[in-house]
Amino acid sequence: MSRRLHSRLGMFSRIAAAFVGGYALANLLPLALASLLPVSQAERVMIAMLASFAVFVAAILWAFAARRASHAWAGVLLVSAMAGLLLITQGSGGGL
Amino acid sequence: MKAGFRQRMAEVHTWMGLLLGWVLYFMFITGTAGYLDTEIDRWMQPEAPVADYSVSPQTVVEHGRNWLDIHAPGASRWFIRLPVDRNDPYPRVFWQGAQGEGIAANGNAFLDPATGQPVEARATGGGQLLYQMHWRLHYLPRVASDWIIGVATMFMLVALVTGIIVHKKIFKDFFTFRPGKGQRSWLDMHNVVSVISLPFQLMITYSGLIFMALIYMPLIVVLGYGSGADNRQTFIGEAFGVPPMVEAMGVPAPLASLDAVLDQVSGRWGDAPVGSFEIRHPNDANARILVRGSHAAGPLRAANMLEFDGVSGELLAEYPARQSGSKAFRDVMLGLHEGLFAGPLLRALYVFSGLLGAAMIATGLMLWTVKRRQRAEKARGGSHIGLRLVERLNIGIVIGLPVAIAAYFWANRLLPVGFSARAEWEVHAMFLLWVVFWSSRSGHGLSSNR
Repeated sequence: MSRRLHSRLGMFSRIAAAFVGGYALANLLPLALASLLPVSQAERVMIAMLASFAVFVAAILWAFAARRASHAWAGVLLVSAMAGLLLITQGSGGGL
Repeated sequence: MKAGFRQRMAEVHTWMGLLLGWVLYFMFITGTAGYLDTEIDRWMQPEAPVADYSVSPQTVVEHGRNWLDIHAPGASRWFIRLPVDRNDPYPRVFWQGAQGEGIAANGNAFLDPATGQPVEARATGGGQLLYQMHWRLHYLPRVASDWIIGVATMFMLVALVTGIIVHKKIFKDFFTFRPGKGQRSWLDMHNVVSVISLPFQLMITYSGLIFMALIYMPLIVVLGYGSGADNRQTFIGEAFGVPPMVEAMGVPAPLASLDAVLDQVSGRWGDAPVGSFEIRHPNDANARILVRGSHAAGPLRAANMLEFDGVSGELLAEYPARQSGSKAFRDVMLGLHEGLFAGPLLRALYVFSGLLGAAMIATGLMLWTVKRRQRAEKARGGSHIGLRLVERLNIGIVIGLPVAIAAYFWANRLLPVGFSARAEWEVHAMFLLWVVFWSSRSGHGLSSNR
């Protein structure tokens, strides 16, 4: 029984990593990468919005393909943190 | 979760497809009808005059201006749309913020190109309503419908990508159909319709998300420009190249000659069609006239625009349809999604692809139940509530929705032409019949164990 509960919690955590973590990643990563491009800030934001759904899908697939729920979270959080750092250092997160 | 990668992707595919599959089916059926919106409008208003595209822009603009002068004085905004192609069969005026006794603040009217008077035809939602339902759903506030269709579309995108991953033999399955074999036949059908229409499904799903990107991904704008409505407006102005809003001066001044403006337009654009006139603060000293070209000339869903001073008629600025590469990508995706540029053959292909999308969803939903039904009949416990629920939803929606849409068309002919609320009741008839269809099947499914 506890094993079943454990596996349910794992699945719940994985779903959260996919949709909550993935959504955060979809907001951060495309803008961070676009901030490296030599284009205007408006175009960076536009490119980021266009690409965000592809990043979201990739994050969801990653979360469900990962070996464990903890791996799913680790991947999503690590890339999000890196994207956040890149945004701050690039100084193109005008809102940060 | 010890299963292999492909097995896990198959599970994701199953659940993403199932959970909001019925919403997606609704969006596909009504959206497919939306590709024939103007044609359905025509059928639902048989008394409307035949469209006439030969009428000159000068005449249309003059009719529009005369109508608005009388019926929308003191407005903050006038709008005149010209009949360019099938998307706009009649000249159309609409206005905002009109003032005066017995004057509607906001409104719109279709004008008969021959007389300049409103087109007299029965009230109906027409094909436009089916098209609107495709993304606005019905009876729901905007916030709710926006997020329901957003989540559903995102699920669809995940289901498409996982479907491709799960699929091993795309080419071979294209030619494989084994009828009369239960689950295997449903799977073959699901594969065939999905593979044939895959490029369309990917395009329509991704572009659907792009349509609403500002709503679904607002944090990107906040990260790039800062929070608040002002920063958001700054981004929109910079990214979409829209002319700055000017305030009314409050000093009356006669509106410039629209004929002279049209002459300047044709001097710049030659024979390219004029799509619309927008007049901000008409008859004010700070009036502006925005003239747009056709945004349905090709897949790029954007139009050239000229901005004129609304008193002197002097050209102030030019806004090309094509600006940045990213905006052009967005405009092409939206243009492909709406297919406004499509001629009869391409339009037929759009309808066919939309129906294949609906068939893809319906066969996927059927597959889910057929598989579990077989398992349930072998097991002693019989079917479980989830299976019976999905079976019932499948019939109620996959068959019920087309029946309900037929009721919408019937209501268009059966409700009295003079009935004041007839447009609303056409829609109520659609949903009422859907409920009746639903309850007439209540003897099956949930309650029985078959």
